[in-house]
Amino acid sequence: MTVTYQIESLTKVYRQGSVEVHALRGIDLTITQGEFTVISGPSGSGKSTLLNIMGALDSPTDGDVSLEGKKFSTLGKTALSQLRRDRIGFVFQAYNLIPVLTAYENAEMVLALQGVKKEARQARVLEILEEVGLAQMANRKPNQLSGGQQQRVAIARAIASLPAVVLADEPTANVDSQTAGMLLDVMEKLNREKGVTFVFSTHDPHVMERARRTVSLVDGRIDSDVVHADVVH
Amino acid sequence: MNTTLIKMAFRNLVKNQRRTLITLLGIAFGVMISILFTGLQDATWRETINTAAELGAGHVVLQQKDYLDEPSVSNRLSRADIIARMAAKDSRIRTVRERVVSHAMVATAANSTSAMIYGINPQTDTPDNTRLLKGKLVGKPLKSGDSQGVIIGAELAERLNLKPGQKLVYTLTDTNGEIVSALGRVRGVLHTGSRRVDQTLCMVDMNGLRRLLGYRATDVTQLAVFLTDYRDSKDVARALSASLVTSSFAGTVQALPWETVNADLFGLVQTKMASAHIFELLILFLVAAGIFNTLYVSVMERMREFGILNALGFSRPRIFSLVIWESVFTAIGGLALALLVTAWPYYHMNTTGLDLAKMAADGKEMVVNDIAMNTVIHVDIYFEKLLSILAVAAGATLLSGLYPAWRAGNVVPVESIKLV
Repeated sequence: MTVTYQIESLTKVYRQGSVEVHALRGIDLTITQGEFTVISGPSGSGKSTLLNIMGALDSPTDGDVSLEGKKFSTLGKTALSQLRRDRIGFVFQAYNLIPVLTAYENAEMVLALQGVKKEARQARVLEILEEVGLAQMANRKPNQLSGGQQQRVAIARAIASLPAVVLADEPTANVDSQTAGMLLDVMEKLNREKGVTFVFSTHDPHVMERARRTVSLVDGRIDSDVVHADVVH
Repeated sequence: MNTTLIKMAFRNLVKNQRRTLITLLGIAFGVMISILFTGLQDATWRETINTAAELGAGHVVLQQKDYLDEPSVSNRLSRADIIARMAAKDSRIRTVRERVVSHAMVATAANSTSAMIYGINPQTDTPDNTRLLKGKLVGKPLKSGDSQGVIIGAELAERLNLKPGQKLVYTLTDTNGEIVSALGRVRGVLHTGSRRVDQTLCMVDMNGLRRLLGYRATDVTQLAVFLTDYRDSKDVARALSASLVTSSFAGTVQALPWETVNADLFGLVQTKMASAHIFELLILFLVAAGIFNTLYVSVMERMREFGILNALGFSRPRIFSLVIWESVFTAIGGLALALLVTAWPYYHMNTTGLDLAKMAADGKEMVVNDIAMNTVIHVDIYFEKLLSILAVAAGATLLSGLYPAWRAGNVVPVESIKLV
């Protein structure tokens, strides 16, 4: 299996005045292509911190992260920005769509950033919106969509550029359970049919029960790392 | 990607219509005040300088090289017709007029005083084309061939207690240094609007004055050059000097701009224009401060959004340019609105004007540097100054966006995404 993420001795310490907060304490983790992995844990366990560092949004105090063989520590800000653009998709808890762009324009944004030609972008975005069941709502702005629909647009945006991995931080936190189920169906389908790697940070049991691997964090350390070989897809 | 950025920038402005409109109106009214104020300055100074030129020796004066230091009739210009033809070749020159003038003593039986004698040509010089003849005339104008006729200024008439029909004697020094005099009869008393002129004005037939002074037919005291645009005076003076150097008049004739000949007025204009510039810059600074405040608040409200953009792969320069595009659209919208709100007031003040006499409690005429000005003020801005105001306003708007754009570009995504 192709290794997507290689995380070695990852440590993150926040300093607040004279107080040190150890958010991560020497995490070692490997994520391979096609995984549907959940990082779970109570509040303050370091889930979001881990995801932020994996997404190159934050830097570790010690240790390193490699994505497809590229060590983050060797990349400058511009290179990290390009890495995020080309290889990482993000799905946030609060959807975080750009309010002045339509669903179509939000979904095509990363492709436009990558310089993909208009015709190719159009074909890809319409296909993705079809996949997430929002082809008919392409011209609506975020304030004209429900929470679940907005999150589906966010998912479309995250995967439109075929990234190496989609990092989803509490993607179901702001939707009801029915919508959460629908979102997970979409993401599972993309994982199964397109081979998109998903890494979730969550303490939503609906998400955890769908995961094929669960990494539990407690106090910044991996408490358990379980592969659920018997989960039915 | 640029299309997406431009789209986002435009829509961000449209999204908050009230704030955008307030910003645009701020720019518009600031620019409007600048345009009207500058137009007022331009029109007022143009009129003042042109009036001074008409009452004096033109925008550029051609005179004998020693005349500036010793303004006596013996320092006269000979072959003035040839010089005038040479000068008239410059397209910036509207007309060239002969000036035959002399200091004189004017006396009646009871009194005497100093005056300036001007020679005029009743056949060609009319109140329409000669400022010196414009004003309220009590009596009759000079007629061609009237060798005794004199028009005097109102204040001179008052001092000498002269009315139309009464006699006077004017005495002056001719080109040979001899004292000569002539008897004149007052045909008219003229109020020109300039106290300084009215105190000393004495006009007689030019050919008669030439004979009295001992001038030849083509001799003059000065040639007054009038320009289409007074601002060309220094350039025209330089050009005339250059052509004189290569002519038979080299070393004998000099060309001087009004700024040199009327240094007092020039000093006044410079001081007032400098004050006006400061005022204009102050207005535009205040406008820029308002725009900065609006753009900054707008950016700070969207730091989360910028964090998201950064997370998605927008580089810092891209996020920076997004905010700059918002500044660009603000500048364009503001200037367009400025031209719209300025159009009618400008048109009204350009054509009808604003009558300050109605506002003056004592109803006195308006005097600038001893020149009575029209109490109806107009605005008439030079085109290049209008462009300059618009460019400065656009520049100020763009500059106001630099720091907010920098803040947006330097967002720390992991911190800003946490913002609610």
